[in-house]
Amino acid sequence: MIAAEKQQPQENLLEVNSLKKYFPVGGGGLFSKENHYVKAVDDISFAIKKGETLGIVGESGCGKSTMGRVILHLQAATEGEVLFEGKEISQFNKNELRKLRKDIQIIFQDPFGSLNPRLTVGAMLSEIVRVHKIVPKKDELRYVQNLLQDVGLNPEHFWRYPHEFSGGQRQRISIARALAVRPKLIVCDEAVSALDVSVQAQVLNLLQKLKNKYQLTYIFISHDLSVVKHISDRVGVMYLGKLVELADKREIYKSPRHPYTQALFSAIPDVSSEKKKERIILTGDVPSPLNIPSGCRFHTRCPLASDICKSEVPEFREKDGHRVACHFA
Amino acid sequence: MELIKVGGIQKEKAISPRKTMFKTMMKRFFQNKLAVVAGIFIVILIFMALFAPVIAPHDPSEQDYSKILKAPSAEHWFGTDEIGRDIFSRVIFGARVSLQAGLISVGIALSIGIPVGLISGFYRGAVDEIIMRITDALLSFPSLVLALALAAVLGAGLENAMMAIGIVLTPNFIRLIRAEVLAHREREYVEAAKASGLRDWRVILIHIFPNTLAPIMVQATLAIASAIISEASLSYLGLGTQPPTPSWGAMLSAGQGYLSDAPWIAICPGIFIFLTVISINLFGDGVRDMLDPKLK
Repeated sequence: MIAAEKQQPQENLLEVNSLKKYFPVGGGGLFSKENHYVKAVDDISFAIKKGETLGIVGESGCGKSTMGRVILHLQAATEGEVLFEGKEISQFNKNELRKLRKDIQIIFQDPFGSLNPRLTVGAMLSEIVRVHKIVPKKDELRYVQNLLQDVGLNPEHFWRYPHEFSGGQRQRISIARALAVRPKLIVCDEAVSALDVSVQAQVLNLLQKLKNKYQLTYIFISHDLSVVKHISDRVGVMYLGKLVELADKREIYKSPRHPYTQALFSAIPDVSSEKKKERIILTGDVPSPLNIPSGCRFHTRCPLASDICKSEVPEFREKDGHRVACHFA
Repeated sequence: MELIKVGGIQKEKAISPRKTMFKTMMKRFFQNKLAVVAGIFIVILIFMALFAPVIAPHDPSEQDYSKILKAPSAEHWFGTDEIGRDIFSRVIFGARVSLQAGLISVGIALSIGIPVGLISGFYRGAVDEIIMRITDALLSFPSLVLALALAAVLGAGLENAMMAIGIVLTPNFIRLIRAEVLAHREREYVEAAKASGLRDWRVILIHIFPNTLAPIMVQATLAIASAIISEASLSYLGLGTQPPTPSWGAMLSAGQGYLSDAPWIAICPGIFIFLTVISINLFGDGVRDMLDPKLK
């Protein structure tokens, strides 16, 4: 039934235009009139097509998770727009927003924190199914148990509490929760980062399987380059709240153009190739998002940096479907 | 569609696991021996309060000047007071007032404190600010002074005393519940519940509130104790129960003048206050553990 809907690769499911999310920090207070902002997400634009998996990588604190939450409108954007199926979600009222929740779901990182300890798995999933009227009441149990089987759990797990499960199983429950409303887009926010490597692979394969079965589109946020490589079609690299490079997976892993991406990818251990890879080691720390460097925000650590980098913000230019924000790329 | 495959077997199972859930809860409660004993004591107390006229051997306000300040004996189990009233009968009748004072005033405090605290903690912002400033104002008074003032405004009598005590206890509950909500509202499961498109009241009542129960329960049982004592103080000052109606608190304060000559006047109701408070406390602990699915 669902498979009958032909995939339309041209259609943009989600479009993000100059999205900004600033968090005001203290500052204000009694003695200072000045307002400081953490620029967690600063002018990000990209689009994602139906059926695609977009990987977003970046260091801790670069704003990837915030971006995910803003896309779901769990946090309001400071500026910019998020278009889902052509509709601007920040204009949605409460009811429309609830409907949007049926279309966009999120899987959180922490398999222990993201499940309510007081509710059985079944109670939690049934509640969602009931609220969104996904199936008639009499089919609820069957629907939820099927869901559990879909994510590789037993129907009997319906009556268990979250603390009776392992981390991997809990993450499967989180996936079931996201799937329960039959969403079109799922934001996986570090969905496998808290799991053992062996369990990671299982959960990744499950996500892949579910994607094919339910025609899902993923935004896959992770700091783990190999995980992103495994699951994504396209990959975006974030640095200090900005997207610095965005390209097809093969393209970006084969020939990264932004010096940050190059440094990042040179850190992936490679056992297969004969020749020893040259490791690019960045000096210094990531600057504070409170005090972002002028011009290109990577210039403080960039091996190629020159005067223009300090003064001018590089444009996010596109060349053969490969977008880079660097004066020298 | 493939949804219907699982078949009818699970349908029958749907009833039994829920029953077992209830059973494991009861089992968990009955494993806690102290809580069971406490529960039995509370049941006896309530029974005593309900059937006081039948149980009490004497009229609680009957005065017998030939038997003033008599020590406990076969006829007067707990002795007699300064005007010859039977302490045992008075303790039994006092249970009515004291249990009411404890339970109803805490009930009032909870029924205001829980919704207000939940709203304040969940929505934050201006509503929270206003509510917090009001609770701060209430908390800035010494609780007895505030209760006194309220009781004086409302007028003497048990109902008004309970109302006054309830209002005095409320800010503590608001603060506590709000703090608990703040601790839970940022958890990922709450965010996930919001992301699932649940309405605010569902997020608050089904996902946040049950997780805040444990400290509320503890605070409530402790508050029952302090309500019983506060009622005593108000009665002592003439704003609570009016004599000759006995209340444990009033008896306790009346007995303090005879502590060296006739200690039983104060000790007997004192023991009952102590036992009641500790029983409610232990019982509350038992209920809390019963509701916690993590404990087997």
